[in-house]
Amino acid sequence: MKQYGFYFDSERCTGCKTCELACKDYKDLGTEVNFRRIYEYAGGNWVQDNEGCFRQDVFAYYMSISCNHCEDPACTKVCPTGAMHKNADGFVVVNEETCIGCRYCHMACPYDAPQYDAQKGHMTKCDGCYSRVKEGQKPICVEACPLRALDFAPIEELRAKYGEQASIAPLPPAEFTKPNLVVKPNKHARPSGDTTGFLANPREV
Amino acid sequence: MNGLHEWPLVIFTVLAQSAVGAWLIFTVILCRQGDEPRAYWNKVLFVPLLLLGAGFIASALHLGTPLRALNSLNRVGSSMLSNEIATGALFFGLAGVYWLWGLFGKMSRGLGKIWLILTALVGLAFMYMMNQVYHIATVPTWNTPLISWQFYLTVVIGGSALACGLLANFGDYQPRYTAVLYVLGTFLAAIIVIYQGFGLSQIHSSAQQAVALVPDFAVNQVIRLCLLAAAGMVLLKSKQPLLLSIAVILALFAEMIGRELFYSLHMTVGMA
Repeated sequence: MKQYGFYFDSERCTGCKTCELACKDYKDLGTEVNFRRIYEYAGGNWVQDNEGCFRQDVFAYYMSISCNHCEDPACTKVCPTGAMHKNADGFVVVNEETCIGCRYCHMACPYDAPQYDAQKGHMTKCDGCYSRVKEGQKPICVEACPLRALDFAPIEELRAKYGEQASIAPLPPAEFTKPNLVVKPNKHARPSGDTTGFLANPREV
Repeated sequence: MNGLHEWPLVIFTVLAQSAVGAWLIFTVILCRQGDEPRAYWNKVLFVPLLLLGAGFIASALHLGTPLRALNSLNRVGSSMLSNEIATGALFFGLAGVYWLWGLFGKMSRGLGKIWLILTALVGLAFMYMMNQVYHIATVPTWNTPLISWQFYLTVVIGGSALACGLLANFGDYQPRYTAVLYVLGTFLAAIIVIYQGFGLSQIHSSAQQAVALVPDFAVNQVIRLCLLAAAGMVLLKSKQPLLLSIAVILALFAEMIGRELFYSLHMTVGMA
């Protein structure tokens, strides 16, 4: 199989979280574990123009992010058991029979993809709906999105169609893990590391 | 303070570092002066073993599935955490055998020396791996030389505190350099705190400011340094076993405050 990746259109996303809930329903997740998370990045201020008039430049946009099945995953590099691994088809998955729940992968991943399940005592994460994709379907989050802001396809196709952008705030710079992710920026999109905005919904993610 | 949820790792790292530090000091003394009187050394050497054992139990409590703890050795050579556990277990084993040997049998001076030095070298490797575990490229607050200094200085401070406390009533056996090491370690630790305090304001992602993770950084570091100073005064002056024990516990507790701050500082270059 070719390397797959996610596409996310930040112009379309309204932050409705249908993707996150469809995933929770399909994967039977509780309130503490979110394989897909929606980050709200917001900022702006009042600025005085030459005439002395105050105008606002506030902005807010959403990023729906799960696991990016990175080319150079931070999580698999540190895992002491080998439970967290990139499988032959390029999906980063955790072997739940081997994982000891040390949370080292969780410390390393800048996307918060590996999630500790306290009930199970080990790590869990987005597997790219591996079994669905193998049967020729799209992951459940992609099919659930009412705005069609998400897609999942061979990454080469996505990059040919939409470009290479994968470093929009609050995402980390792509050099760190080389995510298989393509993001379509919106008109307010800020680059990774930007500090003019802030994470507006920390308790939701 | 959000580093408190990592209390098993706080206990494990500080106790293991102090135990290894003490063992290194004991190695130097034993190699130069021999292990007479044996009965006293049997008691002294048991303390770092006890602390290390307690540390390992604490580290297992940190796991979600402790029954599978042995899986942590699966990736020796590629994962720093595997390396840490492997070298730590080897150190524990070698040190334990040396202690049992002294307790039950007569070992030849030459072999004993080689065994001690080998154990000390494995201990140093263990300390190196423990430090490397936290040098993760995606964690900007940990992946700095200041963190290595902090980790190695706990080896010096905790180790010399233990050695001072355990050898205070041991006649000529306490070399002056254990006290010098303690003072020097604490002094360097204070310098590191100053550099770290200023450096934190430079570290941020779009979602997180490092300074915001440790709002009580200054207060906690001041408490830590005051405790270290108070413990130091007792360790340098007193011969009373009870006071000495309290001083050692205070010194280790001070280092745990520092380690708690370290775990509080976890953030990544992204949103996590």
